[in-house]
Amino acid sequence: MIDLSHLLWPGAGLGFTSAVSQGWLLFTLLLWLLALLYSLSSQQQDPRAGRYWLFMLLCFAGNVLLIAAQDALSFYLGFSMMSLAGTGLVLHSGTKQARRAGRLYLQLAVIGELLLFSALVLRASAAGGLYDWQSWQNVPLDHLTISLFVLGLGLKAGFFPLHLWLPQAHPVAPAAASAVLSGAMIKAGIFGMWLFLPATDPLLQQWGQGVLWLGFVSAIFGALAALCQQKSKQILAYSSVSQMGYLLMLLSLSWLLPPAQQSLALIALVGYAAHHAFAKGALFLLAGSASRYRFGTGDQLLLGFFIVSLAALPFTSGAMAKTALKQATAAFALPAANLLYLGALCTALALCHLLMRLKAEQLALLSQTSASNMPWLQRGPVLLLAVAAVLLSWSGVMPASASVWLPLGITSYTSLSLQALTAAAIWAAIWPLLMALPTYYLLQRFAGSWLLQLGRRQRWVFFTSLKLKRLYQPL
Amino acid sequence: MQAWLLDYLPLLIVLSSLLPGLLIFTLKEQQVALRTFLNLLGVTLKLVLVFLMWQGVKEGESYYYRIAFLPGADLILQADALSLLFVVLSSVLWLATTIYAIGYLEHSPLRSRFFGYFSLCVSATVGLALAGNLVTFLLFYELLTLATFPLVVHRGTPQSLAAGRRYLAYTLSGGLLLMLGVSLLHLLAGSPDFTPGGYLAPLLASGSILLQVAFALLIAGLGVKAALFPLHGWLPQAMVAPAPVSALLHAVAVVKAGAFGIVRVVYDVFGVEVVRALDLAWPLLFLAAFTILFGSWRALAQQDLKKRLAYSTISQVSYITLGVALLGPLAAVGALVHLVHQGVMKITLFFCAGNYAETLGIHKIRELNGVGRQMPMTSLAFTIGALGMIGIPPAAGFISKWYLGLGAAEVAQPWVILVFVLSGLLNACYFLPVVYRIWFGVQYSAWPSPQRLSSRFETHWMLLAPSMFTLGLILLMGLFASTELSPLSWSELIVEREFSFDD
Repeated sequence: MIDLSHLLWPGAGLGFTSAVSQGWLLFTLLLWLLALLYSLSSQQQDPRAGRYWLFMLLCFAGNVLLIAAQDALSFYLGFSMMSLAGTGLVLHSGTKQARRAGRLYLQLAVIGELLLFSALVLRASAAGGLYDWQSWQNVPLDHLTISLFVLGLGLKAGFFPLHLWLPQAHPVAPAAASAVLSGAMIKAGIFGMWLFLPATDPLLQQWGQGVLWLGFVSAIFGALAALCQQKSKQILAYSSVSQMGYLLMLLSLSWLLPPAQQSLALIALVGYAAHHAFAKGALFLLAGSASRYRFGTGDQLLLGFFIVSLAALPFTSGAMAKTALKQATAAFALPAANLLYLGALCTALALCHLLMRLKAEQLALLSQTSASNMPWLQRGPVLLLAVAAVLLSWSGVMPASASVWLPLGITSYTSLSLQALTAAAIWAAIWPLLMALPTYYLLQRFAGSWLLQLGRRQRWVFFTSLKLKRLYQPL
Repeated sequence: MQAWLLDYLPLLIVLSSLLPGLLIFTLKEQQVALRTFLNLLGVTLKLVLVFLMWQGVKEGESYYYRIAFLPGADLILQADALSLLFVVLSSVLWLATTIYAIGYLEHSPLRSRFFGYFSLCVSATVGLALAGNLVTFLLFYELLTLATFPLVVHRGTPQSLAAGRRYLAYTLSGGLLLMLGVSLLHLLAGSPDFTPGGYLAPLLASGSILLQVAFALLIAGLGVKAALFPLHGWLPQAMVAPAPVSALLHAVAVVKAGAFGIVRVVYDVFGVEVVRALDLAWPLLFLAAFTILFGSWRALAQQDLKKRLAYSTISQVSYITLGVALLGPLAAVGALVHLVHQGVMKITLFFCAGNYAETLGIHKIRELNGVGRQMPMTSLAFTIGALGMIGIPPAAGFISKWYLGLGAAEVAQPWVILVFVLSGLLNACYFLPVVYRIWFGVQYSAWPSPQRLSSRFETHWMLLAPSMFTLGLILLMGLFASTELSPLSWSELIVEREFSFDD
């Protein structure tokens, strides 16, 4: 840890002192760099590319800073830099949808920041004017502070019911920006909750059960809401709501489990977050490319790889993540562990829908123009993300001499991947998918228009946001 | 420097702007070079002297200058850490504002009068900061009123004359109340020097009601300049003054004189103990909290940029009063540091508003659409200043808000944090739409009255440079808050050295 408290703001310290923050930094950094690489191609003809790069880099800096932060003020600086600069990314295209989504995003981001501010002030005061985590670990929490943290950071993390801005804001941003928004930036909310709500606090035992169920509801809700959408990026955004629910479940499990098993949940948390960052980031990039370029066979394979990965089929990083989740729930002896199958079914449904919509978008594109092939500068980053996802789940099978250069601890995920290869596990992974196919067909056949209508019902969010704006800005 | 000169240092600092100011009055309108020279000479001299004094005070030296004035009440100029905070703030910002004013008033009439009063105004502010007892403070406080009035009415339009009348009515009656308060205290306890911890504790036993009355009178008198509700009426109207005057009025001279006076009265006249014993902090606390929300609420409705900034000042200056009224060491640090931070941020915002008005003729907020492309540097300064007002790091405003919040939690008044959160929310509501218009808005009509002031920069360099300078200060004060040079460290020093908290 670097102590900067005599140079910068009071208490300033940076460093990556725990395994969680190291892992978090790693996948965040990787996703960011690849997304920036992708933007080199996607923003080539953008007349406002300068603005795009400015906000991208500000968000990048904020995101890394908040992971590196060892004290409250650095975290808050990174967090607000990332949140506010994110507005620029959401607004970037300047269309009507972008403007109203940007307004909603900014309104909720400011509220979230102020809630986080008051939580941090209360916490720092309770800790007697110390700002670093190490001293905060042993200061008991109170209910007010916990709820402020959950609300303030939850508005960033975007789980149900604090997700309102997420499905609106992510799809309107440029593809690479949506990739990092969904892959890296919203995870800052979960990271912050891990940081500020130490599992050792007894009060969190009371909160754990509730937060666990909240995560579960969010997981189901996101997947079902995705079915009501028509645009691929919006489906992906709702799928993020669902996946953030799983991350929230893992986080609350780390509070609930006995101390000996807490590390299990935390390892699973980092693994799941990394898996989702790679897969969701890549899918957003692919969805962005699909609207402008013709997909070759290789591209379709890549797309399939990531969809299968999100569906948690064996051999994928998703299988590793889901196994970790199942182990953690099993360790807690959750009475309703079987409910996870329901979640898997919903996820599979959403992914079927995504595939169908992407296909439809691609067909629509090809019927209008003769689109050219996807450029390598866009395919490359996606390909590298696939490599990263494979390494995440399978680096342990490589000989030790080949894996020394890999970051520490990553090889431990291989055992989880292997556990997903038993016959029972394979069957457990496949039957929700097999059930999803006919269910999806029936749903589309008999309830397709109803789902479509349901998807349009989200207007009230914009309506409220506009009302609010009229309140503070009469003209 | 000679030892005997050191004794005169406080006086010299006041004179360094007073004498050039008096000389400027005698100049003809055309003597631009000489006037500019005198102005800059005064500023430079003052900065050098202030630097010397700052070095001395940091080492723990004391400067003390006394002239006989009234029986039992001498005129005393002295320098402690608290007065130095205000002196440094006003002389540094005076430098920026002088350059800005020279650029802003280029080719306009009556500049000798303007710069003469301008210098008088700063002399009065510095004198008020260095005042060693209440009588001296009162004297400079009244001088400040008289020196600022001609600046407010400088343009001579019916509108500015009306504003000037209102300003005079408010401030003179405020001065009257302050004088009553000071005389009452003089009767009760004489006028000894400001003492850390106050000098009224011995009187607690005899007459608490008279002390309460005196406190109320003093606060009411100071509250006029500090724009405490319901005494704020003059401030939004006074924004018809030229931009450099508004900048100085809102950031340093008038508004801050009131806030600084409140700090002095609470900490160095009454003292924390007496204020607590007499239950005087509560009304002040509630009044300040209400003013914070009220000012922000009214700012929302303003469509004129400078008017919105004026209401924002009402709200932001009350942060200082609120921090003082919380009576805790951390809150005091927050209040003192906000005195500096708010000054620098608000002066930046007013500079920017002036730049927009001078360069493109923009006064209304809705005319700002797309101005970010035309004037990127000014718009950047405005954006950072606005973010600071909301309290977003790394702008300086965050640091003061953080300490004020900590101070509120420290004295177990968590509801005050809610006030800060609500005010931050309202600040975001009236600043962020402006920022949005600047950068993302689409320009829908031609600029009201564009002028080409510079071939190289977006506007005259004398208008641009001061705003860039204060923009730099905002970021430096926010980022390097715990270095020795920062206002935060100095405020901590003041609280440690001079505010007696029993802990």
